[in-house]
Amino acid sequence: MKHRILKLVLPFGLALPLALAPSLADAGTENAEVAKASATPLFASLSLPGTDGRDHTLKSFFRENTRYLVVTFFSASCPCQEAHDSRLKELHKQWSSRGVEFVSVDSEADSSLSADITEARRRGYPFPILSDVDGKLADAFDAKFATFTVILDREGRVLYRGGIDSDKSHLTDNARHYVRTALSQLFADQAPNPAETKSLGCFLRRR
Amino acid sequence: MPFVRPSPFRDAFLIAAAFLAVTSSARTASAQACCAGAAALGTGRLVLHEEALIGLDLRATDVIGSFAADAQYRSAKATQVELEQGIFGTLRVLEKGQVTLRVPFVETFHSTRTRSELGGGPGDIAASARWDFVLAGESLSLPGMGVFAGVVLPTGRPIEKAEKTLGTDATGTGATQLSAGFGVEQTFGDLFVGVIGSAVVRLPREVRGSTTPTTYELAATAAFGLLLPKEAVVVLSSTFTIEPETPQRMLRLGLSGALPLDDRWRLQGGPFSDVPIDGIGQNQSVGTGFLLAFVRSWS
Repeated sequence: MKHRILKLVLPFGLALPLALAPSLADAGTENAEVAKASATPLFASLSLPGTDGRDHTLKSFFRENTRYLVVTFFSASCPCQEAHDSRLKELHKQWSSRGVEFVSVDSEADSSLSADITEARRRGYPFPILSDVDGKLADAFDAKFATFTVILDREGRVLYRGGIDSDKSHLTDNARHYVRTALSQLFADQAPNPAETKSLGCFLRRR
Repeated sequence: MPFVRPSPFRDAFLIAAAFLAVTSSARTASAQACCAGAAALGTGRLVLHEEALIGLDLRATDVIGSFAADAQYRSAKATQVELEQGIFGTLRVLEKGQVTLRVPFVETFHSTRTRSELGGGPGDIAASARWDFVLAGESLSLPGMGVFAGVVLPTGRPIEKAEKTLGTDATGTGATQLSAGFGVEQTFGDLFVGVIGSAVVRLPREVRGSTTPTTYELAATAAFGLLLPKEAVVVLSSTFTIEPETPQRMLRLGLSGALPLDDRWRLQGGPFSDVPIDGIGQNQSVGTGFLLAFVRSWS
């Protein structure tokens, strides 16, 4: 009987660590293709209403001294989003004076601009939320999860795409800060590494 | 309704109440359980973003009575407590698939007016696979939909091979079981609704020179959950099981929960009880107990 059980258990026991090794070693994976991507199609053409009372294209966030735009997809009901509010605001505080603009985008089908205005105020966002009820921007970036973030350059090219960091909804001291690292590397004239990571937020609710 | 003698597991309901109290005390309430919502429906189930998990579970069942062939409930005259621990692991396969293996260890304590006995050993190993076509919360217009299949191997000791007087060293059914089913689930704000249907086939086996027939079991589960702060979820479920040919039937109610301790560890489980009301069950023992599981996951 013991041999019978061992035969059944052993393959799984051996396979488990082997299978886990690549996925657990680093949630982020380098993707050099990302850095070579062409400009986002809707970068200059799609205008969306923002919680600041103005309509914006992504291009419109680039002022004379703006070098990069950090776009984070937003979900009002996602605890992962709520958990990352403080880190988003910290990123804004750290980088906005160095030529980095921030914006959130709400692409959930059941969202509304008025609800986003309430949320932006409640969370104390120092940047607007764009209302993208039709999900056009989410489609353009293939954004599926809340807190999914892209960093764009002045030409609308995606330099980084993925999570804000490696945490889900319980923030840890040893998280890997993907966006912070990517911005640091960009300001050091290096390509972000990793240039693509997993985003661990809730599904963006779509039709 | 017949008198139900006090159960040592009635405290499990108090534990569940405490669980509710703890998880309800958070400052803010985010409506959408990011990732743990579906976990309360199954201890070995990977939720959104998880690539693998391992876990330990403990199930304790007090057999409080039984239903006879006439569907009348009768309280147990003796004490029979079944403990089962399991170690389980689940791996993500492709994007929406997952495979699970569970290895149980069973202990049974049986006490009559004249004799007490404790026995146990390795139980029946179970393997299962699940594929989710759509995950709950992914779409407003489509609910989460998944199919699953499994096999339980007769690695435990069947009752006819038990050596102890009261059979407490029996740890398995002795039969290979094949199962398949489907699940539909969706979140509506703070609410979580799930429906599961499954069928089990128990293959023939040799018992003292004769072959048992193939038996079939059908089960339907309805689950209603409440998504709580801290990504916790509490699910009230009812499962009706029927074996048309035997015939056997049973209704089990359960209150299960999942409480993430952080992004990697979660606590799952809750109390359950078969419903000891005349006419509801037939040819089945009636148990009440609780399940507790610790899960470590990787995203």
